[in-house]
Amino acid sequence: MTRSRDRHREAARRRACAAARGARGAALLLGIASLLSAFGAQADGGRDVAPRGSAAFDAIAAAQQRVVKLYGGALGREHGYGSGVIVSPDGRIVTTLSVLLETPALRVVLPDGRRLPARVVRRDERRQLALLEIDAEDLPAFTLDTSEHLRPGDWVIAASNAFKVASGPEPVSITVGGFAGRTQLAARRRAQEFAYGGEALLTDIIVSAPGSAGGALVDLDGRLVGVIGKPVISRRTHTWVNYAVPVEQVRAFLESDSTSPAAALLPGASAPPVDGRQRLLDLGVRLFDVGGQVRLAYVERVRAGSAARRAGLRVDDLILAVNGEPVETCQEVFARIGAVSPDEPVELLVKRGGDALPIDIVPEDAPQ
Amino acid sequence: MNVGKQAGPLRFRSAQAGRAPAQTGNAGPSARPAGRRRNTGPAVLLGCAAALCLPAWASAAQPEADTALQRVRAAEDDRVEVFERAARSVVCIFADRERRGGGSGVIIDERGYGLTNFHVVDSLLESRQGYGGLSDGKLYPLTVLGIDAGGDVAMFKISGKKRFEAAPLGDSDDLHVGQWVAAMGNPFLVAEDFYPTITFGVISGLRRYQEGRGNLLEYADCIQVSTSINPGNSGGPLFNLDGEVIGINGRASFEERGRVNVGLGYAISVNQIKRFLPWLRAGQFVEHGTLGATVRAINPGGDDGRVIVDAIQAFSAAEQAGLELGDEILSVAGRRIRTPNDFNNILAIMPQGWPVRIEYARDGESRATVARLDRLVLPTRLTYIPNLDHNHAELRALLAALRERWGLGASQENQALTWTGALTVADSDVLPIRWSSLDATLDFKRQQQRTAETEAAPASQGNAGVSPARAMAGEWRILTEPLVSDPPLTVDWEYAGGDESAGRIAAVIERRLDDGRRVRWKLDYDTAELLEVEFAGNDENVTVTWRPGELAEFAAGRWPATWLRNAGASQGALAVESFERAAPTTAPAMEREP
Repeated sequence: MTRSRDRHREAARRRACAAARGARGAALLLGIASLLSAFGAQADGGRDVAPRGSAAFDAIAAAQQRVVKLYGGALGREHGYGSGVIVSPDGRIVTTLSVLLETPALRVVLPDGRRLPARVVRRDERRQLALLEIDAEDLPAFTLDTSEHLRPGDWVIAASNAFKVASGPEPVSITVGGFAGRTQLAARRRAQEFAYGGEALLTDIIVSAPGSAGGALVDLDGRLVGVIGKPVISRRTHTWVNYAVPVEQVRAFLESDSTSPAAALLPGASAPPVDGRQRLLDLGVRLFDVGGQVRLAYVERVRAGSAARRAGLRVDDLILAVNGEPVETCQEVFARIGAVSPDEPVELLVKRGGDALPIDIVPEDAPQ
Repeated sequence: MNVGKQAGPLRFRSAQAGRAPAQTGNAGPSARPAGRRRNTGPAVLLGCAAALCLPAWASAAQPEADTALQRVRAAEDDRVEVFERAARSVVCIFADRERRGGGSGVIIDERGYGLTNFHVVDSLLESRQGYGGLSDGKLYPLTVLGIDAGGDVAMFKISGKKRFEAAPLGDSDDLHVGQWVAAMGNPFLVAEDFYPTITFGVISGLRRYQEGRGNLLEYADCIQVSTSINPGNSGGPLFNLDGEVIGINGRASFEERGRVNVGLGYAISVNQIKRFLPWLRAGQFVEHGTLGATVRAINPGGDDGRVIVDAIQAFSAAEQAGLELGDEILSVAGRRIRTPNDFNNILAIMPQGWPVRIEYARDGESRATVARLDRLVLPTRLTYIPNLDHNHAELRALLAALRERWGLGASQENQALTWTGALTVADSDVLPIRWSSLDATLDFKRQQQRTAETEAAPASQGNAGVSPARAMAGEWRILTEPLVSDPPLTVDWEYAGGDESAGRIAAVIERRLDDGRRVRWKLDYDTAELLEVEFAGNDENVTVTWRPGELAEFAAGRWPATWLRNAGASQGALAVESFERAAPTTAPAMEREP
């Protein structure tokens, strides 16, 4: 747990420093040069378009062989199509949770054009991932490894069934762009929140198009670094976020034995929101959550003897950030806290008078 | 599914233009840097690498990065140069001088011929007049020529300069997913100085199919790009890194995201357009072809990739080509067919009347046939009246090029050819079909004999007073008129469109006689090389074709071999043995390996 927090801090530090420090630019340059040559825009004028068989084209071909098209239920603005990644040769496929899965007639179209029925065998409400199975053998499959090697500015390739423009055996759509960084989603899925609070990989590739979710984000070697996430709208800018769930989370999902029931959700229902309000109360904090539309996150009460009291939180503190992510309203605090697992520490930034103070609340049963 | 909603045409509508000035207010003509070099001006964004880390660019030059940096910069310099040149061929199209309406286009011939989308110029069809802004900041008048409404392509001719910068056409069959491409045009009409906006991206998919409305604005076999394509980009070129036009950008997927780029744009492939160019050039309304047959997968949802013919219309091209129900289609026009989509895609990019080779299997035996596609009727009543003056001007230009190839010289346009001797067409024995209305058999030798025998007695078969010999001369003259006329051709001839001959795209000029006979000359669209002469008699089913390579084997008739050049007072012999035997059709000898 602390390791992930350290990594989170490290990532934040990197983000802050990247803009200011020129040194990183050199590394970026090398990356760019390698990409330019990988894609054939060489120093000899960029005229020699695309030496086939070079790394990037191999990566594209590999990704296209490992991404499937999904067809299932449609409901209102939810489209009845999506993407998935093959994670084992015997027909295990990972995709994102969506209404499309809530049908007995779920179909997978393999890259070779075969159209097969699929079963949902596991769901992960927190990561918003689902595991499907089809009856197939000897499929090309992604190896689930790591995304740790990605640095902001690295090139990534997205492969997905965006807008279902590819049909049957036609190869899925390819886009190329930059890896922008890691962050946590302070986000809304349309109007409905979901609880995934882990890291998301951000990219400047537009991967928020209908049908993209569940597709692959791969590096220039064709390694899977993330699974394109379900559509999420930024609460602040009302724009779609272009992100992927890191491959580490996909691996953790597959390795977790806490199999959640495969029972179908009601159509249209999303993950039940984790009750951040209750968890905050468990930590000993009640917010002043009354009034108008925008309710700033002022602390109304801190229970005596609670973890929050021990950490030094006081009444009338204004919570500015949770685990490094800025928050403005009570709702945002609940959402943030709800995304943190109960035994993980919560790192607050509060405004008290003219000061901004860090407050680290460690749950009582957490390892000290 | 409502695909029309998914992928809409991209003409920038006037109503939206009214809201645009907020975005464009500050971008006056001076906004473009005078001398654009690296790191100044919009072209730098082409280095899409640069776009990601521009701030680090200048300060980051550590020693170990120098080589990489230099390589990147050198490549970028070259790329910028390529696209600076390409930008000069890009046209910002407007309906009037007030710059209403709006779209993009690209000049592909230095005389000012250019390509755009049909949906960019469809509002101009009445007047045929519009305006095009070029990167020099000036607005030029343009005229709409031929249109292909089904494929959403139109040709225009911009005027006001003697020579325009033209972009070369590339080969869109030689593209690869992941390859870099750049789109140019005038999205959101931001280019007040007409210097086109350039966006960079990769090819996301090939041979995509995007449905149209009825048979209108259908995008078959098109190129899908991640390059930003926005309203106003319509009709603009998609370039490869060589600065060659590989497609015409026309639409994008939107749906729910407003009319802005969502990373999926579509371009009409330039190889499709090439087949339509002769019609477009001639100012014709050209329609797409159809085989009149449908196919289905033998095993839907399977991966065996086999399709069979499951319906054939009576009297259709498919029926005439001998296809039968249950035939397994192997390839069409050289492309392997694995799905019904493949089949529809390849046929939808062919013009009416186009010859398409189909390989199929019947009873385990592979066969091949060639079908001439029927006309695919458009669900619209477009009133489009071709401009004959323009048509004849194109025809004369085409023939001038041909005559130049034959050593007659474009500068001596009034030169005419006659074949040697009054009627002694060398080696011509028989005109092989019922070509003449004067004589049912028209055996040339027999006529010669008869002429000799009856000497002063003119033949009376329907044409009193004209000797058969003289009538023959007249008949020959019709066949050979494109070369013998002085000045070239009468108004009886017309630039009729295009065709394929020996795998090459041909421009077709045609004369139709009142009695139903027809002569067609087919010239290579690019080089004006004469590919074949085809004539059809009164009997519609019989056509005879002369082709350069086949003359020796062609027993029934010969093309006049020896011609006389009449240039003013001087006269000289000119051997035109087998059309073009002297002209190199393959690589010249000097380019051979030593």
